[in-house]
Amino acid sequence: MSSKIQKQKKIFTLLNSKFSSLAEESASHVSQILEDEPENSLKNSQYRLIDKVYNFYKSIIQNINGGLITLDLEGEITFVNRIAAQKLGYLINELLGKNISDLFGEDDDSQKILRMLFVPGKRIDEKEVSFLQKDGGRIIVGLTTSPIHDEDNQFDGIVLLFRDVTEVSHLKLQIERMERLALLGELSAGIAHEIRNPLAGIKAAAQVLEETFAEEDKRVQIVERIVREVDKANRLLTEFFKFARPTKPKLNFYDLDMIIDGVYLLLAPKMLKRNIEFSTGFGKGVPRAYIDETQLEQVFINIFLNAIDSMPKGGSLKIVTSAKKFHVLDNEKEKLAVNNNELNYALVEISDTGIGISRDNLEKIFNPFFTSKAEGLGLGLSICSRLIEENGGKIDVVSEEGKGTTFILALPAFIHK
Amino acid sequence: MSKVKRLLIVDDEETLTFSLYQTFINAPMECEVLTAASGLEAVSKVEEKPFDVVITDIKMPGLDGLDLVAMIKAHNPNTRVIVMTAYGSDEREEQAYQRGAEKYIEKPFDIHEIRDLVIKMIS
Repeated sequence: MSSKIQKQKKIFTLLNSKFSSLAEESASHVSQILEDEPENSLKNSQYRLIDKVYNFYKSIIQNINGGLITLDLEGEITFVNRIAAQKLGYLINELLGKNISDLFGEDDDSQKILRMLFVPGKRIDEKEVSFLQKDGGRIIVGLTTSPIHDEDNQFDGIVLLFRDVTEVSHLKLQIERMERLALLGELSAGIAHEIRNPLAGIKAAAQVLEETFAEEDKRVQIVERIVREVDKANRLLTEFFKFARPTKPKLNFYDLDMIIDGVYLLLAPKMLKRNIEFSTGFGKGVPRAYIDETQLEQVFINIFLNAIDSMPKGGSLKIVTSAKKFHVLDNEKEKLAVNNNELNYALVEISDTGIGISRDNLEKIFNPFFTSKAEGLGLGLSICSRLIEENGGKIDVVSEEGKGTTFILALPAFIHK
Repeated sequence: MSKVKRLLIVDDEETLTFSLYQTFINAPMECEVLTAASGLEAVSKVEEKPFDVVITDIKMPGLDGLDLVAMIKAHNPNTRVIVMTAYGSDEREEQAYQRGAEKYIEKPFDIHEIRDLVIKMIS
């Protein structure tokens, strides 16, 4: 880079970083002059013009509904508008001088875009990338870039313009998931017919054959094995269909305490055998949840059984319920069929003191066929997540290896369509 | 002398039809056992001479099992019908009962159970 360009660049950076404060100062200076020296009319009109132009550009840049960042060729941030700082959770001054690579997410797509930023002549048009926020959070943005050229038309910097598409991106993922599940539901009906029919044939033929053998004939055992394996394959299919095509929930208002107590009674012998202490903390004023009782029982059974499995040497399983209100935006009211701006939920926290789940596995536990158990099919939690979704609720999990796991269920306590 | 009872097994799954046929011809009951590989074949057999019990699959090429149940019951309301399905759903179960089926079973089933059920219906 020639010394002339370097010098210009320094000036440009200095001007940019000082731009806001100098302009503010000059604006107040103009006001002062107008008050003190009214006779200086020519200067006044020039100042007024500069002030007007400055305020015009400032209001455009600061008030556009998108983040704006400029960079030098080393990737250092030279200017940030208010929205950009706000979206990233920083103060403007904290971002100036920071390198843009510190803001890009570590995912492959974001890193690829980061590398493309500094390719001369390359413009990025509305690409989705993730930006890291000051508090460690992430936002998904639609990013557009354009180059800055100096007076010799040399590539001298980059303007980044972005808008927050985090919510849109999540909705898109949710829709894609729903479409995949709908497709899976349709496929499963076809698979059911194609697999269960021959299974029925094999099982019936094996049982007919079994009856032709004398009781003491050793071949009876072979036939029994065939029947057992057919039943095993069918159980796998049945579990898979629960995930792929759950029955439509039969919704009504139910006391969660009653459902939880019922599931406890069913599993109490198993907990006693494993030396697991069971306790509940049913909160006061927890609303009745509007759910399918049988499906919720299934969810609790699956989560309780996992908790039991995670505590081979004993431990404790605690269930806490509480009431929770979520705010509803005006435009969501019709969709949710509610009249006011608050939605009532019943929260259920199920905490065990088991082996916990590793960070890597935590992301996958709701995926079908993911299991850490030698015997498991890996469908239990995926079914739970699907059923909770079908019941209009949400499921989340927090876990620490060696300490335990907590599942949090938010169940609607209002009539939803 | 009492009339010989008649049982019809309807399914396009040949192995299952064959196994059920073997089971019922060896079962302790006086019964004529016939098979059909499609809904239409079943209709022609039903029209020829009524059956006491019909076991039918639902999903078959051509006329499906649910329509077959309605036709059988229209032809002879006394025929008792068992419906088998490889893909059960509450809606289908309800439809089968509405059309006059008496029992709805999901595949793969235990052959001893269906045999006991048919013996009870026949006798």
